[in-house]
Amino acid sequence: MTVYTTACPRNCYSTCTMQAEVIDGRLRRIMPHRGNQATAEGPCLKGLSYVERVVSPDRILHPLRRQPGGNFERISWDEALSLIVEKLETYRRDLGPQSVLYFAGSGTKGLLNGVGSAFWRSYGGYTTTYGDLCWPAGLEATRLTLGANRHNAPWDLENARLIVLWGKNSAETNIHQMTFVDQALAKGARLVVIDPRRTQTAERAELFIQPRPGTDGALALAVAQLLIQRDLIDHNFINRHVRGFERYREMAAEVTVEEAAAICEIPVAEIEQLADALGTIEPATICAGYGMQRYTNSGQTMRAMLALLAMTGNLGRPGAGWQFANLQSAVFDQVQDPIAFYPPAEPDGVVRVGVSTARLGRDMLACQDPPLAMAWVERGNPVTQNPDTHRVLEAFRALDFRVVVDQFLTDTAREADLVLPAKTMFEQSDVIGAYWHPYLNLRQKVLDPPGEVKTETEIYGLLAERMGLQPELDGVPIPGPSDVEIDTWLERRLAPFEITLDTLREGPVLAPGHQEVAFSDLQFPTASGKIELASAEARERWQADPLPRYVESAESPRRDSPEARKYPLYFMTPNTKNRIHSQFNNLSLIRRVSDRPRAMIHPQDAADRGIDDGQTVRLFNDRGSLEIAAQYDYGLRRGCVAVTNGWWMTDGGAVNVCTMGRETDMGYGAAFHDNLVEVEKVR
Amino acid sequence: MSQRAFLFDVNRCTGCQACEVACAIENELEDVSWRQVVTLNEARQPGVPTMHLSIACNHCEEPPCMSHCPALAYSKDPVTGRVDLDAEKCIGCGYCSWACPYDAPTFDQKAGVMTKCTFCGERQAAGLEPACVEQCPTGALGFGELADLPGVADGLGMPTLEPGPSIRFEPWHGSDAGPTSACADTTGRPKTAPLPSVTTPRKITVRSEWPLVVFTLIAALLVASQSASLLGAPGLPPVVFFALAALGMGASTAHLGKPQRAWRALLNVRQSWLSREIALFSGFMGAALLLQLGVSSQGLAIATTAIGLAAVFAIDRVYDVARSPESRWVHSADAVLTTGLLIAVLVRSDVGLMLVVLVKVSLYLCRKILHHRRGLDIRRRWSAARLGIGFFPAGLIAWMTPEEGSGSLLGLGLCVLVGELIDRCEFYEELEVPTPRGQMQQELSTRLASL
Repeated sequence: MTVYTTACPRNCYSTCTMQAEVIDGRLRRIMPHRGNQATAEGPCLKGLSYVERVVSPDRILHPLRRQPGGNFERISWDEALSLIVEKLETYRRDLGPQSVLYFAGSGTKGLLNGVGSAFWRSYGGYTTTYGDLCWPAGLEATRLTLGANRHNAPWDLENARLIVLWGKNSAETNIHQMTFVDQALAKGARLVVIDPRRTQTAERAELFIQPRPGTDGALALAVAQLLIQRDLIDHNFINRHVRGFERYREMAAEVTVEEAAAICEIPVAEIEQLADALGTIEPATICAGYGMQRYTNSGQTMRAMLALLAMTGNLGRPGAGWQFANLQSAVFDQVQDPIAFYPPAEPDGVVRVGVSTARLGRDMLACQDPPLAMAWVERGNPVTQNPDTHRVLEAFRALDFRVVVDQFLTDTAREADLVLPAKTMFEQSDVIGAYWHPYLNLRQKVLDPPGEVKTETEIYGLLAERMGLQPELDGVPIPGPSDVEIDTWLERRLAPFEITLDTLREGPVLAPGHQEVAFSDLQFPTASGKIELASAEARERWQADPLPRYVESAESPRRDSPEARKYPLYFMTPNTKNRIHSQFNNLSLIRRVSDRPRAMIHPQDAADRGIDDGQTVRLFNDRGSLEIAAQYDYGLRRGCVAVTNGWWMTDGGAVNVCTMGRETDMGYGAAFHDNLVEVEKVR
Repeated sequence: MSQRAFLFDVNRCTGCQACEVACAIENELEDVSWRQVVTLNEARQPGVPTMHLSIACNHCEEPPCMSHCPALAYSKDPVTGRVDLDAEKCIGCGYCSWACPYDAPTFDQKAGVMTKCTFCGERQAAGLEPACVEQCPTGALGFGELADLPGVADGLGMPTLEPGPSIRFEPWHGSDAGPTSACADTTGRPKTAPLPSVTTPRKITVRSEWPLVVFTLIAALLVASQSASLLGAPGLPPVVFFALAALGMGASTAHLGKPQRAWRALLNVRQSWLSREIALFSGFMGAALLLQLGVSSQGLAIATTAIGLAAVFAIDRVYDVARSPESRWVHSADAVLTTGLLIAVLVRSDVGLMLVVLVKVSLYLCRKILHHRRGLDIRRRWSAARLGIGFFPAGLIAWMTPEEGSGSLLGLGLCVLVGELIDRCEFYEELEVPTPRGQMQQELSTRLASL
């Protein structure tokens, strides 16, 4: 029996450090690693279920080629590589290298992910996506306001006297944060939860507000107005560290609190209570979720919320601050998010950053000169996870050749001509950061890849060899497939920080230069060096209002459009504790707690449509429809229907069939939460 | 004796179910988990918080699984207080799952025996905590020596504390009204909105227990027949008697997960009514066989009848663990009453018949009225059939004169049996084992009613 330190590389706040126990070459159990102060209690049910994932009978263990009938047949690596090389050479010769789309998702974190773009660059060029599905509007709002995306260490939340979980369902998406919430509450802190859904996170909230989706900006502005009116603001802090306060103050007063209450469809009293809490209890931390920054107005929403902390002096102190994304462990990245998501100002002639990930299907179809002929997909499942599934499918099906690298036959892999078996996190070492806690972790190799699984590094290496290419990453050739070569390459990346793999084999290491209390020096790396409530860059870069004025989101029942009249319900597609996007729900360990998709609906909304609890309903708009079992949820705001995202099409719950490919107001995010539907009973 | 115990903090539990998964992985369980998370107010009705209980075997001080197990398959480890189930001794009768109010023992379909939480004995021996405790990502589960644990004895979702469960609870620190936004208040209290369908799965149903329906009815009939013969009336013909006996015993034995170990069911006569039932019924059959073989002694006939009646009494006691409150003492389909009715039919005692029918009809009607008031399904058609087919002929029998022939008596007797069958089936449908899940339902109803 051997116990290894490793870490979960999923796109998840917690990024748990864990211990993997291996007995006779078999992953027997995953255990907590106490060395990570943020995740010391151990991983969630998904992390535990890796023991099944690595040996799942559904795992792809050999290259598979689609047959004319649609079935997949096993082929040899030699055949697979020959086929890819033949296609790549043809496309490069006939159309140019940019006819190949390289699509990489967020399925697995790691420094070695860079070999993909290194290979495609050596191929002569490629087309790729810009933007991100997850969080760029909030990242950009934070960057514009504070200058950088950093926040206090997770455990510092214990010091907060007021915690506002605004649109964040930590109990399901960042379960370890709940421990710190509990510790703060035990010390007498107050908890506010703002969410149209009564989530598990809301259960202990003293103040619980359920605004209409997409109106959080109006709520924040009304709170700001009350703070100013009642003089509950920190003048000293504002004078020294805030820029644009006067203009923000005038703008906030344009809409009265009563009007804001009417916009949010909540009572004025709730806005007053929130303002009172923020104005009188300190230190205060706002933890902002990612869901509410996936609307068309959401960058401005986040900026309006950030201003509340700036006005009350709740930044740069223990127990205070803005917890959105903590990129302090992103020490290896030359370009920090969110700028890494932007297309370059000038094309470099090699990489065409020409497809917005938010509009993946539409932009892929629109590519000209050259048009796209092939797609290579790794670490992602764009068919169900990018907006507008039907359009994405159309775009993929219009291609001549599709390669998908994955562990399982996902909805995207099912569309492929060639599926290559992917490693799991236990089959190759890599170094990962996180975006909630500030640790660097080694995601350690503890098992040999099963079957004929090859790591992406090796696949690219073999292709490069056959094509006579010499891909380089950070100025050195991409590493060879052996453990020694991988370790040497990783050591080289770690060397500048004086961290060794041996250290990381023991446990996680705090990122070099990490600030436990972010901005404790009150230096804000904005253009002015101050917190910017009015932002010239917002106008220059995004043609956005320099001030975060509230505008109704693009798809809203209040808009006077035929769609709004036909589709009165907000379709919310939140994350669940049982999956990370479309990962995990194919495992029997997860199936037994999460068997099928359900549409959560308020019983009154259901009754208005003659829908009983458990009955099959059709949830639809002009873009698509789902047939799914309805489930009563008294805690859901009326006028909303919710299905957790990440169900596969084969489960009948792929929510993005209804969403629209559309960007957020800033950051090139995906505004797929702007999404109206109607629900009807299926006879 | 040392007694280790779980500690549960309802404030920290978010219902994430990592404990369930951890248990399944640690113990390599394919379809089940020995730990379960049960939830109060899953539908998030306003005015009541949504809270969870993560529960497994509580390794009780006086484990009811152990005292009720007919096969002596359970034991209690003196070192840790752990309640052990020996799979080699288990006969797969499932009776422990009726006796346990915490829903801890579960039936392993593949192995044909019960399985349950082992308190992670091997881990404890290695100085580790049980897997569920170690793996809880919020620290809601704790573990230690019962006497040293903080917290209180009672917690949300516990149907009873009678067995002395080894678990302690941190009290709820949140609001008893749950989070309340104006939005939730204006969208209708549960009284005005439709209620979600109740989804608590029932442990005991006619579908799962039909062999027991067959066995208990046959047992009542055989004992009644024997009693009737003792009183000088004609009993069942021997061929029919023993054919029915074989059918009843066959059905109840085949019902076991491990029929080949059925003999073990006799081992716990000292404590378990199930053992007593089986021992007494076996004794009855042995004595009846002796009588049949020509050992004719009045003493043996009396003894046989007495053992049979005792067996019928034991049958009723077996179900005490699962009786609904209104039938705590007696149910119209109790084997004792059925036996009484059949004796009266066989010996043609008008007074006896009227008396038993009166008792049974009263019990039946009272229960139906009670169920109707509680909004439960009273199964109108079945009830009508039960009363019409089951009792009306009994009245006819009373009016009949003996000369009217045994042919019509047989027909009427069959009608009576059909009535008893319906009632007996309803009896099984009404059996209810207290469970944490059921307790949560009850708690929710109580809290909603008090709003």
